[in-house]
Amino acid sequence: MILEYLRPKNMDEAIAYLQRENPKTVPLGGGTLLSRSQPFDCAVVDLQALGLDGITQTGNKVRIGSTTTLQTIVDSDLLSPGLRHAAIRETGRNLRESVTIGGVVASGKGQSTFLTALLAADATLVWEPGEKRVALGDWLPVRNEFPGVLIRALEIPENIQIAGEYVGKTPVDRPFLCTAVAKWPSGRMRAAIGGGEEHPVLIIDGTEKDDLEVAAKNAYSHLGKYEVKSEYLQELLKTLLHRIVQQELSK
Amino acid sequence: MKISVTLNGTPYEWDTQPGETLLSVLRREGFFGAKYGGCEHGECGACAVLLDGKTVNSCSILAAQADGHQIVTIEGLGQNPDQGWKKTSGLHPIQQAFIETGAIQCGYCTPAMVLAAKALLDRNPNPDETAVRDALSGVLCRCTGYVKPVEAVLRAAALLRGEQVPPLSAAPDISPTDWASGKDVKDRSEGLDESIPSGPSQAGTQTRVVPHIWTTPQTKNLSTVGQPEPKVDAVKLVQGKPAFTDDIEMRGMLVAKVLHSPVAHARIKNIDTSRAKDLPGVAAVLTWQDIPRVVYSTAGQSDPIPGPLDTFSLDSKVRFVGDRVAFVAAETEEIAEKAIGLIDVEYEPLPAILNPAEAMQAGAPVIHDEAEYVNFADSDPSKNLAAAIRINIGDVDKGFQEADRIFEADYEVPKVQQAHIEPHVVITFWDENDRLVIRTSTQVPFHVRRQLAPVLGLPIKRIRVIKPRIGGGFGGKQEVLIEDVAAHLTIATGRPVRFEYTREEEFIAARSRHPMRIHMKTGVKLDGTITANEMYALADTGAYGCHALTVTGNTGHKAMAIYVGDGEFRKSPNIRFYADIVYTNLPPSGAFRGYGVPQGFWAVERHMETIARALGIDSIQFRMKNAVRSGELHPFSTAWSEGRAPVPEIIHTVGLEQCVVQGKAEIGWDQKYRNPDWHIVPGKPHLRKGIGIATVMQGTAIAYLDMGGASIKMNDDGSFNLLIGATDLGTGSDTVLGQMAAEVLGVPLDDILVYSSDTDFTPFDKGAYASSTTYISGAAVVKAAEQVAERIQKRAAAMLSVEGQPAIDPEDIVLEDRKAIAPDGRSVTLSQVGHNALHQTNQEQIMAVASHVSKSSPPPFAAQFAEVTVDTQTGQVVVDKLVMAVDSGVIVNPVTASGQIEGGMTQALGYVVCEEMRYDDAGRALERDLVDYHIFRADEMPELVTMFIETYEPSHPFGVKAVAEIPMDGVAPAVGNAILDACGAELMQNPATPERVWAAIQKK
Repeated sequence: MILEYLRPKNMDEAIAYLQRENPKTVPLGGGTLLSRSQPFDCAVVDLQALGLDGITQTGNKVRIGSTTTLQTIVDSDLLSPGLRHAAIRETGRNLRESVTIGGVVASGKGQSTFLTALLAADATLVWEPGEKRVALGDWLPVRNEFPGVLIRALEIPENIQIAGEYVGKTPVDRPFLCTAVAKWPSGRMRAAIGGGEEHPVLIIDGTEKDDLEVAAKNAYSHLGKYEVKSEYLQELLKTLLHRIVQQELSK
Repeated sequence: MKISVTLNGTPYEWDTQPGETLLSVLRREGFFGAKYGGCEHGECGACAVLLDGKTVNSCSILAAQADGHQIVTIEGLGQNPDQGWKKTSGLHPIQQAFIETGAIQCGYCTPAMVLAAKALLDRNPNPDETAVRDALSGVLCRCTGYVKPVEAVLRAAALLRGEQVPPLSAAPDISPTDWASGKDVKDRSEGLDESIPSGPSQAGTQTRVVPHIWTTPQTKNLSTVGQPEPKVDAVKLVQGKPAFTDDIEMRGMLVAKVLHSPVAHARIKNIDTSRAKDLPGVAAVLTWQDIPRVVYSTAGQSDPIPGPLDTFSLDSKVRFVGDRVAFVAAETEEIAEKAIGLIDVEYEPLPAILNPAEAMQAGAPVIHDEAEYVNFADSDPSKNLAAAIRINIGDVDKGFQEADRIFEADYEVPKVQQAHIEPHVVITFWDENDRLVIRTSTQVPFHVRRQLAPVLGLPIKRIRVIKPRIGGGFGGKQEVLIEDVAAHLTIATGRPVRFEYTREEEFIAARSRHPMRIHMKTGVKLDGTITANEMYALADTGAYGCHALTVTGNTGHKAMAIYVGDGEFRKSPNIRFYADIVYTNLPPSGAFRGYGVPQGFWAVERHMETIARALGIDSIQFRMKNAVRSGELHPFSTAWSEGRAPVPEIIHTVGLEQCVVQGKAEIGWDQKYRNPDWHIVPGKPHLRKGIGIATVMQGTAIAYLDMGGASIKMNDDGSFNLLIGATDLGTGSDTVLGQMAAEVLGVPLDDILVYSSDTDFTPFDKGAYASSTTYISGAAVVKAAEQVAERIQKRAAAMLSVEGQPAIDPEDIVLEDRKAIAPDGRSVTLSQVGHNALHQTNQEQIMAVASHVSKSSPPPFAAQFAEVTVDTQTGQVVVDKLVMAVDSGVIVNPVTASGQIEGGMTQALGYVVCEEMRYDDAGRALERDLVDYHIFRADEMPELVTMFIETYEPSHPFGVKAVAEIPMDGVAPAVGNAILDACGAELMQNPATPERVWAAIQKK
């Protein structure tokens, strides 16, 4: 049950609230999760007045504020089409107008197409206080061990290509297998997969296409509980990753 | 805490709780246009509002988040232009377009769609269809298939850009001809197309809202029947008026919650409610010990219920995860939920049956061991048998002996959910006469009253059931499912009680389509003649036997009736249909649009395709060679009926062959089927295209059993009140019944004020099921209208008679254009007649009541076509196009009827592609929301084409047959057959999940 609603006007105020222990105080982005009945009593800190939304480019990085909505991602020309498509694939229009990327990062599951794409893109989280940086890939496995109290932004490289392939029962059904590959001009290539597990996982950070094929063969071991048979899943992984590299990133 | 918002341009300050959602506050403050879909993740979008111009789900944000922001709800858009002396600017162009295009069916999601469209058009005045579909992607609609809402938004966009758009309500020139006799065929939609301007500036208005219709000669002189009249309830629904069950506030109303069983099968050893009762704000806690033990059935059907009585409001035994354990009524929802958590229950677990194949095995646990169980027909609870069917027509064994080849195969269909966007919801209260009022979202108000009377210990006369607007039902509300919960609590507390299911409760504790395992055995000659056809169905009714017999009976009665054989076999078909309907410890199955028939056609039509291909015969020719023809006996009519003795019945109208011809032409069958070039996708070798067909039939009402009534009363301005017990659950039945009355009375539809349904004021009607309303209730309306017309003719004849001249024969008076016209051209207006009757001469109230029971159940027919693309590497299937050519008799309203077909095809699309209710090894539901259980969204729909091939059914005054259920029947097998055509994968089980298709490809 939400006991208290707070809307701080600046970051210091927000941090102070969020560092309270009693009541448990949590950040509120779009509200799509916290507006639901909670199993615990808590206070919420609405971040809407902090100016954390928006997408900017600095040098070779694109910085996405944590309260930026998925729809803003979809509409942004600064971001790769693959990342924007992953945001479209995440959910329908109404929720895309509310769901923030901070919310996706904090609570997105393995079937999150956008989180899978961010992981492939080697996104970095910027935490407050102190603008601490941590790689998304390092943080996801220990998601409850915060390096700070509030995600301020995400940073992703500006000069990468991102592509994804998803398999679900319908064109927009939540996929049971997501794959995303990011490619750097240097030839670096990172692939992430998502599906039945708690969060997407990185399966390769290398330079060669061959590495990717090996990774695809080994990827099955990364995956958690799946409803589909392993033989099918392994074949699917190989197929999707191959397609991304051969068809999408070679364009 | 206080929040300040600007809502629809007006500043408001509200007190809210920190955790209260915006939806909760809006509805509390009387803005009922934002609807509750029961969802936990904001997936349905019915609650959408505009927040600073963006479409957001008001159930998914806190009211506090809106503090300081601008909100627009549907109440902030247009309104009725004419409000007495006060004139308004009228409806918003988007609202107007939704009405004109027939984009509104149940209307529950309509306000959200209109607002989503407004947000889109405010930021992009010239959207393409993709942009429109994206804008609507956050609002789930279970009724329309999104065809008409998309057209409405495109049309509104053009209007708002200042472009001219053609009036869709203008009827095209109809020159009826008889296609059946081979004469010219007239497509009603042609006239419309010609009137639509073309060119780039008109993009988006090139609509196909009015479907192709091939008309019959008998409709040529009709002025209202056959026209695309706007729905009579559209104006209120598009404004989000408080028309639904929960759009009401009552002082002192309590909120009800149910404690559901966490185990699949157990006895309740002990139940302690003391902690819950002690919680402040709790008004009542009821367990099985607190209320009378009355056995009944929740299946809303005419008396006698054609199934076992095996249910109690509350029992000392639970039979599935989700079964009822206790009821709570409290001052608020939060208190009620907390109280539920404070009820201590000690269960004695019992072995559970989760596999229907094990239900009848020796030693299986007995699910219904209660002494009060009442058998119906062949039910046998000691064997977990809720119903059994054994139908033999002709000499099936001899037919198999005469076959050149025999084909056998097993098929399987899943349990699926109706997923109406408005959950089950009821409000009960005592009125000032101490009569219990049940305001409920039901398809069967009269059955609710009759069936609940003994359960509540009240005579029927002390119960009044009010059916407000229904936000979709699809059979799910043909169940007397939750009304007793609120009623018991009102009796216990004396206070009004509101009970509404959450989406999770819809999945764990409502009804669903019966899953079935079906074995087919078919004997054929090498020339394709079917010599014998046999089906065995094992149906899982779940923990209770509601609809057990009748749903599965229809599986055979319709799906096995369409192919009778040819030659001598046609004269005496050999058909066998056996079924066992067994209890398991899973949530009960029940009624779902199609009522057993889609299950049967998955097996029959997949089987026929396999046989035709194995014989090397064109699969369409094979079907047509063996299909039933007009003038032939319905083969099952001599053997089985729903709970009554069978009566032989001739099928007078069969438009199936022409449906096939027209459907083939529309989809381009001859250019695609067996054309290797068409089956490939250039540059994508892993994709294969396929095309498939299924031919299907349904029923129209239940002969000799179901009755509908109507009453019509004339007012002093020449308008009429049409009171009907029939329940419009979004289908448009209020409109088409009004059209029939208007046709007979010679007035525009505007002059017919339709009201449905209230057991105190409207005549009895069996309710909305079995595709019966237009046919049964419609015939009752026509009879009542004819009686009223006769009275008007008599009075008009007297009014027009001149002393000294021969009296005018009333039968020569024609009712037309709001006038009663004598043969010499003189006339009086109906307003004059009404005024004369009520105030001037031999005063009387001109009114009539009539009812109708049919002696036949004429089947509609259809040819369903599907085009798919299969990814042969992943198994993913994308359905590209669905074409359905339907013989539903005369189409009363082409827009509402095509809306039924489009919506039905979309539900059936989910049945074959993605919808499936699954359970873990403890009987717990794996799908509990509309995220895990995906239903189709606007931005992923295939192209849908609807065509009507009219026949004139002689048993109805306007020649109609049913429309509502037949679109559920053919999509799944047509898609299955298209998958086979694409890649050779034989899919025996639906839905066609990627894994199943991939596995089938590997098996080739």
